Amino acid sequence: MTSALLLVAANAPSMALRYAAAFFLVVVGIGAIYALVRLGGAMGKADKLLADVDTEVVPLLKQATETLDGVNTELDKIDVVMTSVVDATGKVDQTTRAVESAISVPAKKAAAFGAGVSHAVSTFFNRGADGAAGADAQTEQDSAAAGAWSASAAGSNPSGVWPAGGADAPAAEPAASAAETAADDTPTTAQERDS
Amino acid sequence: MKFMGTLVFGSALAGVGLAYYVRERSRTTGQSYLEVLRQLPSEARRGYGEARSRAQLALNEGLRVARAREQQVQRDLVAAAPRDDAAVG
Repeated sequence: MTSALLLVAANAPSMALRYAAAFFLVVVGIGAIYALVRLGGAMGKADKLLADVDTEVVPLLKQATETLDGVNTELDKIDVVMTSVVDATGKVDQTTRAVESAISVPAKKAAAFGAGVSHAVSTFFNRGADGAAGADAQTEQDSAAAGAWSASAAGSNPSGVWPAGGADAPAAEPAASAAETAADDTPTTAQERDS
Repeated sequence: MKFMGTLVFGSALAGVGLAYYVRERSRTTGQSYLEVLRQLPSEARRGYGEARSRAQLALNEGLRVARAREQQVQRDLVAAAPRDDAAVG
């Protein structure tokens, strides 16, 4: 009996360790089973989620592809329209330039003609202050052409008529003709000298 | 007949004009009608020369002013035209 108690006492630590190990293994097994059950549930949810994605996203992708095809078709049409608009803009630009040149040139000529005629008429009928300086040479030619007219105008006949002496007029007529001929041959203005 | 009528009418008109001119000239200068008539050719030649010189001067002035006006209009058109680089930038 004593020997049996001694034997039990001698083997007591190893038995306690074995029971502890068994308890630990049981607890670990229970935890592992619990984790595997939860993992299985999660995997089932993921499987279901993937199945839902497969059934819902693929039609959406098909619809998006069709929409993009339609957008590309519309973009092609817009490209054609934009090309037409660019061509039309170019034609409008050419037309505008043609109309501008067709209007501006006659308008320019008309303005120049009107100003020239107006100034020429005013110069012809009115030797004013601006025409007096340029008319000096012409006045001298007029005097030469008229023969003794300058002398008569400055002399005793202020009215500018031919003097009463009968012999002056016939003598002045050839002189006037010669002076006019000389005046015609001599360039009097800058334009005539340039030409 | 029509030509003769025109000739007579023109002659009468010229005569009336000549008479008016002689009368006004005589009244202005104090000369007799005969003297005015005697000076009429030289007077006409002088008037012709003066008109010719005036016409020449007026023509030159008109051409000068017309060229200046044309250049001014050209400058105005160039200044009023839109520039090409304004639409790019």
